[in-house]
Amino acid sequence: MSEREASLRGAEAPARSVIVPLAVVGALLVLGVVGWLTTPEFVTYRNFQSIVRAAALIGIVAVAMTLITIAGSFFSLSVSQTAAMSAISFAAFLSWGFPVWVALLAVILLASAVGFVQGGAVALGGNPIVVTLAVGAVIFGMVAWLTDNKTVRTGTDAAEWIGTSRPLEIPTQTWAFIVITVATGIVLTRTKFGREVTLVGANRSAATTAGLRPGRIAVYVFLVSSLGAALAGIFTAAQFSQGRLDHFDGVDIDAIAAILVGGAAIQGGEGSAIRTAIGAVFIAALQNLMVLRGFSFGVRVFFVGLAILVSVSAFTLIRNRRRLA
Amino acid sequence: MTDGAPLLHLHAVSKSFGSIRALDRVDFEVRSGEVMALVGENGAGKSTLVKILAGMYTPDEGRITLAGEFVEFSGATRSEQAGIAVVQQELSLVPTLSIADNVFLGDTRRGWRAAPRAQARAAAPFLDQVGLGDLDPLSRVERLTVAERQLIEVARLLARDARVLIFDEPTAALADREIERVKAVVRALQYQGRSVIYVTHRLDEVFDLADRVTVFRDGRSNTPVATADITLDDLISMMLGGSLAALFPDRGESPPGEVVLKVRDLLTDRLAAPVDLDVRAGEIVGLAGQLGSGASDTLRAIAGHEPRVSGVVAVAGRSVPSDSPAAAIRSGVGYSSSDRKRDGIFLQRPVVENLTSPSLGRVSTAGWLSRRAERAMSDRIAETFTIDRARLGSLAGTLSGGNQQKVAVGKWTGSRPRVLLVDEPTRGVDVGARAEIYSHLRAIASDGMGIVFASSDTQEVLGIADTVVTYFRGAQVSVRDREDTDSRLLTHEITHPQGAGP
Repeated sequence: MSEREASLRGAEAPARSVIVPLAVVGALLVLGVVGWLTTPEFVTYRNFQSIVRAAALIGIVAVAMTLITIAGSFFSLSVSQTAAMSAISFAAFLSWGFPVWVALLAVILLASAVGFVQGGAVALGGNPIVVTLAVGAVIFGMVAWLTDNKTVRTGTDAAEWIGTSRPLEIPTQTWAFIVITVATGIVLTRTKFGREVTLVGANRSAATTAGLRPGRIAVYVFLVSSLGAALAGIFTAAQFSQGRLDHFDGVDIDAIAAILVGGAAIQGGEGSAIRTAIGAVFIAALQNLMVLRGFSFGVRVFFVGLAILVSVSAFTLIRNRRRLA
Repeated sequence: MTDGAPLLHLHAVSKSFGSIRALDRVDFEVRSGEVMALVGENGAGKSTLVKILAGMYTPDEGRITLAGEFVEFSGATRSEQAGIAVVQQELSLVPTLSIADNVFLGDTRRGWRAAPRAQARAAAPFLDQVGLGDLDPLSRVERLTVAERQLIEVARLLARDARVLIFDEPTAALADREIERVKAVVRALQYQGRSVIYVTHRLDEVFDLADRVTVFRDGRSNTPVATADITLDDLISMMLGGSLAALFPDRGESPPGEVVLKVRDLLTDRLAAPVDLDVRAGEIVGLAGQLGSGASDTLRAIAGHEPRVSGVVAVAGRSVPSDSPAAAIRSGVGYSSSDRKRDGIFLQRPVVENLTSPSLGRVSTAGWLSRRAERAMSDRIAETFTIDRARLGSLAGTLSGGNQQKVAVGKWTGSRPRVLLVDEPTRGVDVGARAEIYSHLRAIASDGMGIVFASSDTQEVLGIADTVVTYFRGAQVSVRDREDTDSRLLTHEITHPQGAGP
């Protein structure tokens, strides 16, 4: 490429930093307008609350998983199983009479172990998709086996406040979603760790040459993702006073959709917590709208798939145009 | 062999991108049976011209004639039909197909899958023409070397009966022996009466191959000159407005200080014999050798990118652990690789983030990045390495090759290593940026850093090294002061040292 062409592209470079965020916000606005025009129930306060609650669940999982994507390890396909495992073990610990804090601690340790194993396997060169798919199956199988595929009830309302209280009229899940999004955003843009995650994802070899350690980063990002899934599990178990294996079906695909609608680069090196959060709201609103319209399960899956396809294609085109001028 | 009338002629061709004029009323011609070299710095307009001839860009103004008739290329197919073909820099072969299949790849005149035997017979004459007659046309392309693949590409173009072949920096990624094969094919093509446009950064090739040379500068073309009528120095002056001497900085005045890097009996799987090295503060040591000679491997082993079998590496008296780039950096070793796109820079990240990437600890406190410290460090590096500060926020991938290289090397000055290792400091970099990189390396050496670079470019080694170490087939041949060697001796030692002087 020549210097002249290069400086031309440089001149265009600043514009690119607003295209992706605008596209993400734009998609959400379009969805809102479509819902408003077609479905009166969509724009009620009650429905808004239920979107926000669903968005919180997807969002917590997705924002935590965004670090994996930015670090260049694609996605985790074990988040729904990790969330289910966390919900069930949280319920189990409470049912055995342990205090809430012990149950919380136990679940956090368990989820950390799951994240550590996956991160370690990826650090040693394992393909992230294969590793998390396998770990997901192991977790699912083990929990189904131990619980005999039955619902585990907490048998106490000691933890109910975690899932149902509403400080300042906002559900705890939503608070957690907001706090996690802001915290992840700050970590990504303002800390050394966040920069290392980004650089490792942008170019693993160059990161190694610059003295960074991609293996360590892999361990940390899978740890964070696992903890995000565990939190989603805890909130759900606390809300319903029970843990169930099938409670999180589809959370993984929704979380991946949120990340992609949020415009993170699949190959790593670029992405944002806030955009993923908006992506999560988009997916939750889309699911909600489709349920209100009475779309069947198949149709809903179809549209979520379509949303992924469209956003991936669109963002790839934006990026390629930027690269090729 | 060449007659007066140009076969392909561009008259006053212009091409703009936005407000930038990449080609400004450029004239260019090539006669039949002629090798025309096309040289110029990055940004001079060479690539734009090649893309116009390949049909990838349409000129804004100007005319193109082929054998006296006006032609218009829109789309690569039209240009190929007219008999003009570009030997791609990025190879466009399918590795898992056979050689014969690749020769006829995309040729619409043939069925999509001819019988392999017939295909092989049809491919044979074209393979012969590019000196690959001894290869089995049915073997897979993935087994071939880079040079052989490039020649297959040429065979493919010959199968289309191209009259004008454009070689766009064909030797940039090749070892010397392979370069000779490509050159031989270019000569053979010329002998057949075909025309060759040869784009290159390697000026020795211009004199070696070309009948005439056209120099591009700032989007304008010079009148072509016969290579027999000019010297290397003339050519550099035409490209730069300066001479060869101006390419290299003055040597440091102050004598080198204490030894900062000491290597004893270093051995890796890729080295044939143990290696010793002493580098003093303020000194620039050049490791000269061809691709695979062991010069690069020495640097990689010191920097922790290649496991050491045995030997000791010490920086300022303290031992540097093996096999860990991070540990080497902590010990005071910076390393810039020969392939910046692979592991030298983050193309999709801003220049600032590139510049601070090896020194994140220095621009953060308790894990928090300081924007101000980051800005200050990148400003300082940008000033030292003459990187446009207005571009610090741009993605590194939008910079020219020369500026990318300045980022790849310059980023190390932020972490202030005691020793900086640079593998091929100016590969794929135009003459102007080369001069800048040389002077920057000299400047940071004068500040007390020890610098070791590996290079296959003898001009470069003689131009900036204080001490010259030669390599051949995985072993060191000699260590000499710059004053005690010259171009002849150096070339001799890195190509066939047996029988060379002490």
